[in-house]
Amino acid sequence: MITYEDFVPGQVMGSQATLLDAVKLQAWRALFPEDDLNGTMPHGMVAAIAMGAYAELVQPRPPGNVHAVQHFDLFRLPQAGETLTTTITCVAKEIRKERRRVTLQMDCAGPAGPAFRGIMTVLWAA
Amino acid sequence: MMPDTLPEIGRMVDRAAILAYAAITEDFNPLHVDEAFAAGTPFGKPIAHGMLSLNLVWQSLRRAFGRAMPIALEVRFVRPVLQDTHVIAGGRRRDDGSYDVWVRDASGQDVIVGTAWPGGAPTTKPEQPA
Repeated sequence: MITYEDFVPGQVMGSQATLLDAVKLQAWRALFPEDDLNGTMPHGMVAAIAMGAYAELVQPRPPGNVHAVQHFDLFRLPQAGETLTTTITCVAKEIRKERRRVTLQMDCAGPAGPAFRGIMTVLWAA
Repeated sequence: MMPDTLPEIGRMVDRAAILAYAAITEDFNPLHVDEAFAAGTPFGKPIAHGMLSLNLVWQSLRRAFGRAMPIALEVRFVRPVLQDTHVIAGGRRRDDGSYDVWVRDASGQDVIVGTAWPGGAPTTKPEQPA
């Protein structure tokens, strides 16, 4: 299990590649019918891409983590068929008010260049 | 022309939506998907993934600004959204051109609060106090 002590600010934790295919877009549209952009990834799917990489690369995680803060910078909306590579880097950690805070950065890019950057702060449970 | 307010968008966050979001994001945390487990927590029932409700803010921003890029958004998840809660997202323009954004539950309490920057954030801000 990954604990607070394991995080090293500045350390790249890994990269994950995922194909933005029609199946993923359809699953998203089934939940959010308004998000049909004719083959363009809707804005909110940055969360699915980012959290998919997080789930794969930062595990096993302790139960009880709390997602406290989320920042996204969107540079462009990827197209269906793009392979998106998301790299996760630990950018900060600190103990504040007796809570362990870990900040991770997700940089996502495809063949057409950077797509988005996500920065999430998690209250780490262990 | 920048609108003073963002379009309000609401939806019911029910079990079907939570399970669908879990499958899409591969986040099957029992707090979200296991009703028996959640019954033993202080919440008493499953809570939704914060990013599920956050998508309403993205939809509101897209209704207001289309697909214009770049765009930035920063939020704090200030209160859990319990299963079977109706939530509404919206926003209001600030003097500096950014927008206060929020998602509120049926009682009007904030569950997500933050800032959106159409045109992109002036600087990338790693975090604000939770």
